[in-house]
This record gives sequence, C-alpha cells and structure tokens, in this order.
Amino acid sequence: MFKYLLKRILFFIPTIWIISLLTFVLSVSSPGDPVELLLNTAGENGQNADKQAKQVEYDEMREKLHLNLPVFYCSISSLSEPDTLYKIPKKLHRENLSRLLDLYGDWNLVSDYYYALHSLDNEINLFIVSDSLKNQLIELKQNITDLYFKHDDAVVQDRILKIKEFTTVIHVAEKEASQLASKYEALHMSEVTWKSYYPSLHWYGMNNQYHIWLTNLLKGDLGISYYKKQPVLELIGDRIVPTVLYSFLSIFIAFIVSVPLGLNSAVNRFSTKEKITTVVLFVLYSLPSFWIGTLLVNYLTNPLYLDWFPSKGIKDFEDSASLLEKFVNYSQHMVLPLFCYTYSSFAFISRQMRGSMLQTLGQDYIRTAWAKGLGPKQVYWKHALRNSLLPIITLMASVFPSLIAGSIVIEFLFTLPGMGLLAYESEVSKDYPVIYIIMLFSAVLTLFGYLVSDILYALVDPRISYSKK
Amino acid sequence: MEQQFSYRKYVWQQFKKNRPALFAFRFISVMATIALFANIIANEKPLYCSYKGETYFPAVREYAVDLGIVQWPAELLNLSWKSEEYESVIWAPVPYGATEFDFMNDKYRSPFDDQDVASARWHHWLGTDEQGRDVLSGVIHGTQTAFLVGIVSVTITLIIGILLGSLAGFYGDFDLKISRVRFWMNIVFIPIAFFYGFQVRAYTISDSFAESAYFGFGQIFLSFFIFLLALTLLNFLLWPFKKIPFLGKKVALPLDLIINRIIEVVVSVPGLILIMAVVAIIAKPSIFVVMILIGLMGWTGIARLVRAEMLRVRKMEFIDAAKSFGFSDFRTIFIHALPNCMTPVFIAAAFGIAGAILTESTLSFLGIGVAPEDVTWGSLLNAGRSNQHAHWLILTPGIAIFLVVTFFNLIGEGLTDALDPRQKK
Repeated sequence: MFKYLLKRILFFIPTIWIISLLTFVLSVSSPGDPVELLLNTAGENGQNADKQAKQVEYDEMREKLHLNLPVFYCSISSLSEPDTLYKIPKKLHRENLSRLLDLYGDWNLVSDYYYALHSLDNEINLFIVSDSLKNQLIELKQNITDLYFKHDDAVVQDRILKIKEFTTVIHVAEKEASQLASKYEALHMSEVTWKSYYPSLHWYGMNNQYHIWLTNLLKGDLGISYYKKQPVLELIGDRIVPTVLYSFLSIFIAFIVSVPLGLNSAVNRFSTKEKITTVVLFVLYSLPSFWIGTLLVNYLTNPLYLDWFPSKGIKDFEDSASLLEKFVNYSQHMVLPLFCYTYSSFAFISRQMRGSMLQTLGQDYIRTAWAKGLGPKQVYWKHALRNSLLPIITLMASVFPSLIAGSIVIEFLFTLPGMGLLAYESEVSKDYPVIYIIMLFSAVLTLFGYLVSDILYALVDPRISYSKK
Repeated sequence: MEQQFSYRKYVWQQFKKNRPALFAFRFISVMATIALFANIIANEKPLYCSYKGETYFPAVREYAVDLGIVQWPAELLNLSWKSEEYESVIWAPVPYGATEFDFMNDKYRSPFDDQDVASARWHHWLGTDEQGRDVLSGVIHGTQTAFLVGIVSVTITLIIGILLGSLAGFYGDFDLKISRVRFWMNIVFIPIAFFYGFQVRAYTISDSFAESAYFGFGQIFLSFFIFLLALTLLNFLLWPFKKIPFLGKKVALPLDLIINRIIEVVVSVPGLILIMAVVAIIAKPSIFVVMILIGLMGWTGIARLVRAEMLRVRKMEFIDAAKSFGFSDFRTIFIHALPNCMTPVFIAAAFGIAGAILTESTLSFLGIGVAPEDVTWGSLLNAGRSNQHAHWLILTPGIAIFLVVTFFNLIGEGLTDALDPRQKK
C-alpha cells in the first residue's frame, strides 16, 4: 500500500516536468519579441540619442528576463548553425538571420552581411543632413531597417538597390552601401552545403533560460504580463478567489444533491417519476452551459424581460452595508453563475451514481442482505451506498478540469473576475505569459486532483491490491 | 433455410429496440444530409442559371471549387449574383449565403417584422444579424461545420487512441523485447531523426502554416513521415551489432508505462485551455486548426478503453493460436485482437462527436479560433449576445447545438445497450 502511494507520487513528478517543458516550449515559440512587448517599443524609429537610450533600456530588460542566455541545456542544430546565435540581441533580427542561414547555409557569409548592414546603419545614424535631403534620408533609413527583417531574395535585392540609389543621391556611406551589396551578392551566390544536413549537439550547461525559468517558477516568480505589466502571480492571486469559491461550492452542491438523487433513481427505476428524472438528467447533461448562460443573462437579468437578478457576478453595495444586506446581495449575485457552474456536473454525477448503484444492486451481497431480513433503508443506504460511492470518488478528479474549462465561459458571460475571465482576456490581448501560466496552473491542479482521488481510492477500497500492477 | 448470424445485424436489431436512440439516429441522418447538401439548400448562388447564353450550375460547382478541383470561370468570378440579369434561373431553397450581407435587411431584422424583400420567396425565415446575414442559412452552414468538426476530430481521436491503446495493452510493460543496442542507441537516434524530420524543415513548416492550415498540417505530417523513415534507416545500421551477445541481449521496453505517462500529460491539461494556448500562437487560426487540436486532445479516453480491452483479449486462446502460427505481431494485433476490442470504441466515438461539437461551439462562442468569415453555431450565438432583442439569434443556434449534442449522446446510450449487454439494466 505504502509502496503503491510512493510509486504514484514518484510518477507524478515526471508528468509535471513534461507539462512544464510543454509550457516553456509554447512560451518560447510565441510570436513577437518579449522585450519589446514589455517595453512597448515596437518599431525602431526615433532620434539618435533616443535610439541609444532605448538600446540601453532594451539590453537591460533583456538581461533582466535572461533572454541573453541560451534557451535550453542543449540544442540540436545543423553544423552550419553557430552555437552562439542566441547572442544576437533582438529576437526578430535573430530570426531573420536564422532564416538567411536556412536559405544559404554559410554562417560566415551571413554574419559578414549582418555586420555590413550594421556598419551601414551606424554610419547613416551619425549623419546629419540638410533639410532638402531629409526625406531621402528617412526613406533610406526605412530601407535599412527593413533589411533587418527581410529574407526573401527579391525584396532584399530591391531594398539594396534602393539603398545604393539613395546613398549616391545624398553622398553618404557609399562605400558601406556597396560593401553591403557585395556581401549580399556573395551570400546569394553561396550554395547550401552538406553542413546544413549534418546534425550537431551543443551543450550549454545550467546557465540557460529554461533552468532559470523553472527555478523561478518553483520560487513563485511566474513572469510578467505583457499587457498589464504586472507579475503573473499577482494577477492570478487577485483572480483565484471567485473561481475556487464557485468550483468548490458547485462540486459540493452537486455531490449533496446528486448522490441521493442517483440512488433514488436507481432504486425506483421502474416508476414513472424516476423515468422522468432520468430523462431530465440526460437533457441537462447535454445542454451546453454557454447557451444556458446566455439565455439566463438575456432573459432573467434584463429590464426588457425579467429583471430578477443582477447581470454582473460581482458585488454592488457600499462597504457600510449591514451584514444581512451584504449576504443577500452576494447570494443574489451568485445564484445564476452557480447554477451554470453546477447543473452539468450535477447531471453527470447523478447519472454516474445511478449507474454505479445499479451495478451494486445486482451484487450477491445485496441479495444476502435482503435474505437476512434487512429493511430497504438498511440495504440501500448502508450496504449498497458505500460500495457504489467508490467510483464517484474518482469522479472528483475528472469533474475538476471540466470546472476550470467551464469557468472560462461562465465568468465570461457573467463578467466574474476569476481565472477563467483572466484566461479569456489574456487570450484576446495575446498576453502569452498569462495564458501559459494559467495552463500550467490548471494542469498541476488537475494532476493533484487525480493524485488525491487515487490515494483516496486506495485508502477506501480494501479490495484492490496494489502490490502487483 | 439456414439462418446466418451476422454481428452487424444483431447489433442493429438490438439498437432498434431502443426507441429514443433509433429516433436520434434518424434525426442525425437528416442533419447529416443537410450538412452534406448545405451549399445546395442555402446559397446566394443560383442552383441553375442561364447567363449570357451559357448554362451553369453555380451552387454545385461551389463544392468542386471548395475542394480545389476546378476554378470559377472568369466570367463568373466577380459576379454579384443577385443583381445580374439571367435568361432563366432557379435559386436555392434558401436563397442566401451564410456570409452574404443583405444591406436592405441589416441591423437585426426579426423573422416576424416587415422585411425589405421582393416577395415571400426572399423572406429571411429566421431573421438576420447585424450585417444582414441570413440566420437560417447560417444555421444550415453551421450544421456542415459542426459535422465536419465531429467527424474530423473523432477520426484523429480514433487513429491515435486505437494505435497507442492497442500497443500499450498488447505489449504491456514486459512483452515488447528489443535488443540492448537498439534500446540505448534509439535514445540518440530519436533526436537525430527529429532533426531531419522537423529541424531541417522548420521554416518550410512555418511558412506553409502562414499560407494555410491545410498546408501546415500537411507539412507536419510529411515531417513525421520523414522522422519515422530516418528512424527506421538508422535502426538498420544496428543490424550487425545485434550479433554480439552482450549488445544483442533482449530487454523489455516498458511501452505501457510510456504510453500511460503520455495519456496522463494530455489528460491533465484541460483541453479548452490548451487549445486556447495553441491558437494564440497560430497566425491564422481557423476551424480546421481547432478540429485538429480537438482531435489531438481527445484520444486519451479511447486509448484507455482499447488498452483495457486489449489486456483482456491478449490472454485469450485465439491470440495464442495466432502467435503459434507465427503471425507477425502487427497481424496479431490489428487483424486478430483489435476487432474484438472495438465495442467500447464505437460507444466512445458517438459521445466523442458530441463532445467535439460542444467544444468547438464553445470556442467559437468565445470567438477563439474562428476566422471572421467562418459561420458556426457558436459564432451565431455570440452575435446574438450583443443584441438582447434578437431572440432568433440566441434560440436557433442554441437549439441546434443542443439537439445535435443530445442526439449523439442518445446514440451513444443506444450503442451501449446494444453492444455491451454487461452494462444492461
């Protein structure tokens, strides 16, 4: 028994680790440069001094987010790819270089081209021009900036041609421009070598983004929201109360109601009343909660139809209100969301309870119980109930994830400031760190649910032997 | 005359006894027909028209164009169908497209209001939404989307679930023996095969995703194929080493353990949230992406069922017989054992379709993963939320979702009764 529990908990760890890895992979592959999203500096225009200050700011933020480190402990890449690509500061530049490398396959030529581009950029930035040529200069700068993000041959050729034209018109950095053109020509001429198809493994050691991300995660530092610029942990902390409150209340209510209901419906399964209950439960089970929610919001909280309940899920009273008023207000707000939260899991559990009870009633020991003269109360509530409750315990675990998923819709409908609404908001505003942390968080919660239910099951059911399996 | 026993006939007989399930089956058949012929039932293009001396069947042709078989002829390409003069024309029963804007009847026109239409033939029988799109046409095309979602995602679910479940169940932790050299070398080979399959082609994949989801998933599939090919070729290299006694010694690959861990990982992340997280990255989300993601999330239940059945079946005599004939494992698993494990799979598939449709409509209700031009039941319902008077926008798609989900669940129940007498009341 102890051995089983130990084994169960040991298996728990790699699963969580894989999920954390999955979260990390998703967050690394999300589009956009995190540093720029956090600094709100998309686009690279501006004056020189400004540009330099921004560069410093950028580098500081990059350091702070540890984005100047390699991504993972090791990497597989082609032999043509340098293991130091991560040192190129801007993510979008890096991606473009990697693209060029993929196209032409010679890192030396790619980096020559990049440095040529860089020196041209620097030269132009130092240059001050008379008003008559200002427009040309702006366009020239635009063309240079473009080159940092373009890899398509036709586009790059076009830009380089334009750059050459403008530099001859303004008489600036002509040497650098032709240097750039020749470097690109050399790059363009190069063939993809065997090196691109030769895998090589790089080992970077412990000082990498994933390692720091994971240790931070364990310390409780979950990253910073792009959109709200707040730590994700704080955001979740603000929002977790309603979700947890509603989930637990609804699980509680669902169990309280559905266990006797399922039991009754199994016991009197031939009576008309119970047949109707079964049908109603079935219908409830297949009713989509977002539709019911929409109907409730539209017809019960609306002055046009019936204005029985407040439409928003949060309190609306003064802090000076009396305790009773507060209670009434809170419960008024809670009725509809709680109903939406509860009804589907309630129907599900009742149906399961009915099935499990039916199975138990067919067992031999129930016949024995009847035979020794026990009354229905004794047989059903004592002998049968206990054993048919066992599978229901495992349901706890599977109800939990569906509650988290359900919370998204219900909190969205009732504007309840919970985790589900947070997930929805961050999805809409593309706030990647928040989405991924919520995903990780709900996965860990679900896993804990499974773990607890497995342990409970092992504790309650003495028939199952765990030594061999 | 000798009566021949057919399992299929027997199941159908049993199924027919369950009247609600039979009704559900008939209803779903009707809905499936509507889904199949959606373009003919509701379309802004005529079914038949004679235009400038030529005869066309535009609504039928649309199927072929959607599948990419043919193109629109140049003279029909940018035609505004409604305002053209035809020599003769037959319009679709519902003469509106799902995404066609009727500017004369926009701003939520109720079915019971006066509508600015030529005759009752052109009446919007279920009203319109804000931009004047016909709700009836939307519901009919939404049926097509819903069935497509159900079928595509459950097919993916079945493929992955049956494959992994039967492997895990048949081999368990001890029965898949490979030589020691293979066991250890494959830890090196898998990253190498991954390199050739995915790393080398990374930009090809991402470029085709930017183009369309179809190409993207096609490229991923191709990558996976290359991955398997590379792995097989690398494994051929190990052939000579197997002769060395130490390296050739057989060790058991704990397949059951590995597959169970994978199941645990997939189960633990709530599907809706994972789909949201993945859709957030994808540049051009579409219904197709959502379908595939639902399929990739939903296979765990089927894998578990098949595994459990396989654990039961593999101990039976006929499997021993198959093995003693010297049949390959592949043949034993997929031809002899698997057909005996399919009972719970059919049931799970029926429930799975209901679940997939529900998940997709939830997502499109939230506006996640649908392109603005996609019309689904969920997106219609969402459009109804912004106008409290528009009961026709809230009720119809909701009832459609509810009916389809309920009836697929009912079919699932009916199948349970017919196929699995052990669970019979």
